[in-house]
Amino acid sequence: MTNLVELLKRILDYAIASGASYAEARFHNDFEKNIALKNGEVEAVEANYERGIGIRVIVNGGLGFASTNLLKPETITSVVDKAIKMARASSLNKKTAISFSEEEAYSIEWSVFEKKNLENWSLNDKVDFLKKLDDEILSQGVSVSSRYLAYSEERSERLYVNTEGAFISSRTTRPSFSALITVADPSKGVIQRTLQFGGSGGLEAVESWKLEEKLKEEVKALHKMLVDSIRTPEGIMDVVIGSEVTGIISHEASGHPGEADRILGREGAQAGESYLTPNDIGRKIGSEIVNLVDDPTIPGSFGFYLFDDEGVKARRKYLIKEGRIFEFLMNRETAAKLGVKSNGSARASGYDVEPIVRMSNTFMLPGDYTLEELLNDVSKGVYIKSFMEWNIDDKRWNQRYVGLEAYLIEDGKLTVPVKNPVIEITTEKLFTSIDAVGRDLGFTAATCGKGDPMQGVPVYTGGPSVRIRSIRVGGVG
Amino acid sequence: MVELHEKVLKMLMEKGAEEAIVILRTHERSSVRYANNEPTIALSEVINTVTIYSSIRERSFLGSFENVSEDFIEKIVDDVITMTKNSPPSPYYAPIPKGPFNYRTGKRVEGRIRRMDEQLISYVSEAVKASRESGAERSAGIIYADHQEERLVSSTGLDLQEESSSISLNHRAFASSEATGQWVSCSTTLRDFDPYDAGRRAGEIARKSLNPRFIEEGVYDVYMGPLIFANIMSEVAGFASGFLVQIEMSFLSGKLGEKVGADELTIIDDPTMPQGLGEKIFDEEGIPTQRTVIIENGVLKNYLHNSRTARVAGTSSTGNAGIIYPHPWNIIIKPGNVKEEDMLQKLGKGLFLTNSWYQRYQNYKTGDFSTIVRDGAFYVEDGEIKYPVKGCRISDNLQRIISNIELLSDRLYPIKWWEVEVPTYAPTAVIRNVKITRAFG
Repeated sequence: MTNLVELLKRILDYAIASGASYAEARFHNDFEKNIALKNGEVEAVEANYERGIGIRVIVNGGLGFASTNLLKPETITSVVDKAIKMARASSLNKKTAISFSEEEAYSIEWSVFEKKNLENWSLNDKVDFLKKLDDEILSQGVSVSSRYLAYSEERSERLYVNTEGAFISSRTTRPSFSALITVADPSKGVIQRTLQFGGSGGLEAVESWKLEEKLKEEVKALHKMLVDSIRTPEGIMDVVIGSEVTGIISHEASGHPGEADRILGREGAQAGESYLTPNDIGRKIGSEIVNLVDDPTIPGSFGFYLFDDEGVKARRKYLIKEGRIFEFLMNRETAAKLGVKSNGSARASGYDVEPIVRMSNTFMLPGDYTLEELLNDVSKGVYIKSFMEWNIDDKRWNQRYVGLEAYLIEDGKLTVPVKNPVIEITTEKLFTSIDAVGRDLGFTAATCGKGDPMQGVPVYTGGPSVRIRSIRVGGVG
Repeated sequence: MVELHEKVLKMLMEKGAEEAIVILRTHERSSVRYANNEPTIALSEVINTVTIYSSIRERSFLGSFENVSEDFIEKIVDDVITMTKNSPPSPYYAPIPKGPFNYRTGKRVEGRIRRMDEQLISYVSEAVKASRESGAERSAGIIYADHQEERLVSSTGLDLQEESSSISLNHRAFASSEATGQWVSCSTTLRDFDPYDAGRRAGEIARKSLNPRFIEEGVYDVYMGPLIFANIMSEVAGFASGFLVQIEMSFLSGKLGEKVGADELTIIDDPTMPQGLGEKIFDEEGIPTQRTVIIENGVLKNYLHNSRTARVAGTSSTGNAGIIYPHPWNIIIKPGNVKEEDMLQKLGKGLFLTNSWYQRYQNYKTGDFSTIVRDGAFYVEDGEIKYPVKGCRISDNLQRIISNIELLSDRLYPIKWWEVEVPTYAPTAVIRNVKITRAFG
């Protein structure tokens, strides 16, 4: 550890001596282990071990980044030299110099606490755990034509230093589980469901997911949808969405467009830009009961962190407050451009990629309604509990969610299952049509992709059940 | 001198592995991201990875390790042996290939790409300039120069090495916030790399997209440019992976020998293509790669296999390992015989779409999906562009889409970017009866 800190500090000194006005170095020691059951049998145990250093520099107002896992001084200096040379050259093509917002330089260590250490959960136990889940899936009296169940755990140790005196050391552990289940019926065809669970912590996180119970429910629901669902009535009607659907909407229609790098055009050629402009703080985007936050500090969450990958302290951010845009997600570069402070939203998926603006746990805050109360007032509508297909345009305005488990609402009651109801709607229409927010806050684990090269980071999407009035519902097929 | 990968193999066998494959990869990359006509960051990396496969009594382990310093080799090898022994025996196990094999020779690699640094910024400037000259206000994108060396040794005596390099530019031009155009230039040679052309084409699409209108939802005949067609076809080829087929995560599952697409459609995975972006001599098991016809004249001919998925399917590997996940290397859509400049006329009336992104599935087995139309999209009548359109989504079924392909142009474009990860050589295509939807509100 001492040697490592010394190495990082020498790198900073070298970068400054080579002409950088700012430098930071980030060391990662990341270990990931995966076990998957393919139709009930383990194929192989898999592991990935990543260990290296990423160095970011500002040179004459140009930004450079170098990374390597060859921790020999000559290799490190060679990649730093190249990054500095290219950053310097790029600065000649820039009208405005890159700078970072001024932030407090913390010196701190933080870690995720494992109540039940995953190291004590043996490989055999994990395989038995997956096999038991597989047995549960098969014992529901339903024809499951294929299933793929995967367990993964990631340990990440990170060390961050910069030339402003920051020193952040962290350790996180993240277990996760994912599944693809296909249920078949000779006359109705097939229906599929992908599932993901994840959190930070130890075995207690895995236990909290109650996977046996969840998978049983899912398999039964899939069978019911496949066999009993009727064609979704089409037209303008009220829709009640479950937590899983509220979560993806929060992530896609509020979280992504609220990323300041998109707003400023930096992701323009890949993930795209945003319907928001830098002047949109205070813009009305939803009804007054819509409050939406991004919060990395939730203990046990999949998107948990206490300091971001620029050493900035993490905090809850209100993206939408009482229906109005309240704050953007920012790193130090975008904060400086907007003349504010970073709110700790910089994340890098590995040592070999630059930290960029990311979400963590993005969710709509709960209200007071029970699900029954949300349904009570709907004479005819659709309840969409879960979804499979979704997408959204690259300004985050035109989106589509296709329901998986869904039911007709008639006179305030759930009646028959309906097949693949489709919501295809603009962001503003969606958020302004919300008239009641449930109290049943829930979270779904996901891996969010952004950046070029692509960076996948763990997040929660979340929210309660929500009622949306008078929107268009369509059907597939 | 015994090299690292050879040393790891020797230690694995001494410590009890019955079979092992060790691959040492060194990846060097320089890249420049840019936005609003300016570089946003310049990047440089050198990364070594050791991939280790080992098996003991049909128990298997596969891992990649970046901690390749000599001090840690012993610990890594001990961990690998322990994890292999603790892994349960698998019915999917297949012995690693023995050979001897005949490998293609004469692969050419352009050394200059490896040494690229400041030159990349000049290329970016060329692309930005071309877009501006074509009528765009601003541009964003990324340029990559990649070089990789790969060494593979196995307990069955394979000792292989291969080198690859490529340069690729993904460029998006903005004539306004809703008038955009995208193009790519990617090549294994500097001779065929043309950032100016990519910038010019993206800029022209952006300019033509100014003041777009909404159109009604419905079923349209569609003319797809190479970016969107490559995007959708690379998904189709990806679904030929034996792994995805066996877990029913593919609309091609259970359809071998069946007609799944139009007569016009032939999709080939061809890593033997000289100087192809995905040219590859051997796969992750050391098996020589081969040209595999996936779909021929609309009939599903082959899945892509490694030894494991091949064993389950009762067939032979097609040289597409990934030891666990077989995948295509270099996708080629066989061109048609219509000149590209005649394609709009052949479309007659419908939509001309240039790009797409965010393809998601309701059901992988049935192929029900949707994808967002992005960048230039145009309403066409009498073979002519009438006006740009916006807010479109293709909401259809993958098998229906490929069954409705009517015409393919006679020219192939090499496409590789954020949305198209496996290099895909695609023509343009006329596809009939595509369901288009749009947002409410």
